[in-house]
Amino acid sequence: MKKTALPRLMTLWLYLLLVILALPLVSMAVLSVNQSRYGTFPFHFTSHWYTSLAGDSVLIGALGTSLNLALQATIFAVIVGTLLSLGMARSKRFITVPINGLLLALLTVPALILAAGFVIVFTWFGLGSSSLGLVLGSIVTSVPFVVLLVSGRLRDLSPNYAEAAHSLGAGPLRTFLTITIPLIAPSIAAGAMLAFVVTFNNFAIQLFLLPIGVSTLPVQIYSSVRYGVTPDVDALATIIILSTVVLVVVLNWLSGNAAKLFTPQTKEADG
Amino acid sequence: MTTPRTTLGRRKRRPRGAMATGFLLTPGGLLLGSCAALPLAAIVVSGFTSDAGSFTFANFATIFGNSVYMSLLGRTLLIAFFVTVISICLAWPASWALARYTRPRLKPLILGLVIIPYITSQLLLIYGFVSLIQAGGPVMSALSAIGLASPQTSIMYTPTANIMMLIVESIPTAILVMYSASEQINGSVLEASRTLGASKRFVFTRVIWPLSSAMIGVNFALTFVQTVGAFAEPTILGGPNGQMLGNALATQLQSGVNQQFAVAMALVLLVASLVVVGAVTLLLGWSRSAPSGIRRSTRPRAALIAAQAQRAQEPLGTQGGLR
Repeated sequence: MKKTALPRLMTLWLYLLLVILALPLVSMAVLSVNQSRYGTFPFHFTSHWYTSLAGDSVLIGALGTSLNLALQATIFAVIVGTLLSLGMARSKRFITVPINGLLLALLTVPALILAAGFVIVFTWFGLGSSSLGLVLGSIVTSVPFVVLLVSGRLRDLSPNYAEAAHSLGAGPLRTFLTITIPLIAPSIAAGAMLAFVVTFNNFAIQLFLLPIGVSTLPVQIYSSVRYGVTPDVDALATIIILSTVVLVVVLNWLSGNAAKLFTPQTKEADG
Repeated sequence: MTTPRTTLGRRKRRPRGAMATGFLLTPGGLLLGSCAALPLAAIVVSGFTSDAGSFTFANFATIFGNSVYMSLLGRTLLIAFFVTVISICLAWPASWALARYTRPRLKPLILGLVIIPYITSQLLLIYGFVSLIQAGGPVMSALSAIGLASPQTSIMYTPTANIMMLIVESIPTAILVMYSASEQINGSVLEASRTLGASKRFVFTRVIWPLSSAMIGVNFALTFVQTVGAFAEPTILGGPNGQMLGNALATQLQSGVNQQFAVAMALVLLVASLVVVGAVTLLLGWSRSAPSGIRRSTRPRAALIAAQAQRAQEPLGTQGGLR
């Protein structure tokens, strides 16, 4: 009797926590189809807020800025991050250790503190509040995620494939393009998706580096939430959350286990 | 890191020109040098400069001499500590259940449900939380329906709301890290200790705790440092009594005036949080060997855990994600 009670209680607790985590997201989805302008009850169904969202130039504009920024930063982060991973795979420790240290610092130092550093340095270079500074800050904060995934894949890769290609007469460039790139492609794709999400969400960096008069979606929500919630934002949030669900499914499919991308692994890679 | 064997093997089999390697490393090196190393160095240097650019301790003298900033710093560290410990305590039993008592087919689904809030924009989570707890919203309506609160009141703009939000944001990380910790503990070790007559308490303090504490340290470091840097949550939810040092930093930084002072605050915050993380890591290390009292017999286990902890602190090098 006593042996089964505790596991059941813990499993129940797990489901309860999942519900609590889902509540803010579900709440927005429910309020986005509720008639009340102020997010109050009783509930009456309407799809009005989705049509009014389409005409909301401020929100749609901010979404456009965010998507544009995330796309630019992702393209550069993927190229730079992949090259860096390939370079690190064939470098000695005295090169990889400082690079890894910097990447780890970028992952752990709070965005607010990093943003303070960016503001100072970009002001020195005359890039303060410029879109170039914003893109640079976004790239550098998403590069670690690309390196994380691509380096992990490169480490697991057997050198035999490249060796086989080499002994069959392929040059280094051809081996790289026809063997290495296809083998690491799934992790590059997963890295790109992560970089996109990270850049899209990186609120602190955007708040301090945005050019005057421009708003990304998180910054727009930050400045509007103080005046109360509006169903337009709920509608947009619901669309974004549904896209996130699709993204997690794709990531799961690309990597076999999406959770592994987000957890520190202490086991040796068994490959 | 690569294991020495494969590194050696690779290098022997595929000799590459240093030129090619240099070419691969250049863009990343330039980017990291100018946009990572330089800003981090700037945080250290710039805090010690005055507006005119000369060396000064004035910024730090202001922070440490002003009781407003000191109490903000103290409150920030206290809130972050509290939030981190609570989120780990809430998540651990759930992660244990996920690792041990959940059917394998359900695991990806549940992990997916944890990852969705984890990668959702912080601002959307705050927004959803506000819509939940605002006056007249679902939570307050439900509470007033059962007669616990009047429908027009709310916990918005209180320190409680701020702390609750920070805990909700920290739980996904804690579930993911503690899930990883729970999965690593070999079931046969637990069975062996039970078969040998260990009580439940003994199994926890001498087997589960020593094997999990390294990951608890990792979790603590991740969540604590992030929570110390929170400023959107207290600004939106905290109200006048729920402010943290991050607010003062953000306001100063945004004002565009005397940014050296903002940077000095950032440095104080960073160093203070590293000190707390270091102290907690040491305490966790001590707790591994302390309860048994018999130093010698714990040596091999301690060495094993130390090696594990070292690996845990290199998440960049030990990701075995894709295959």
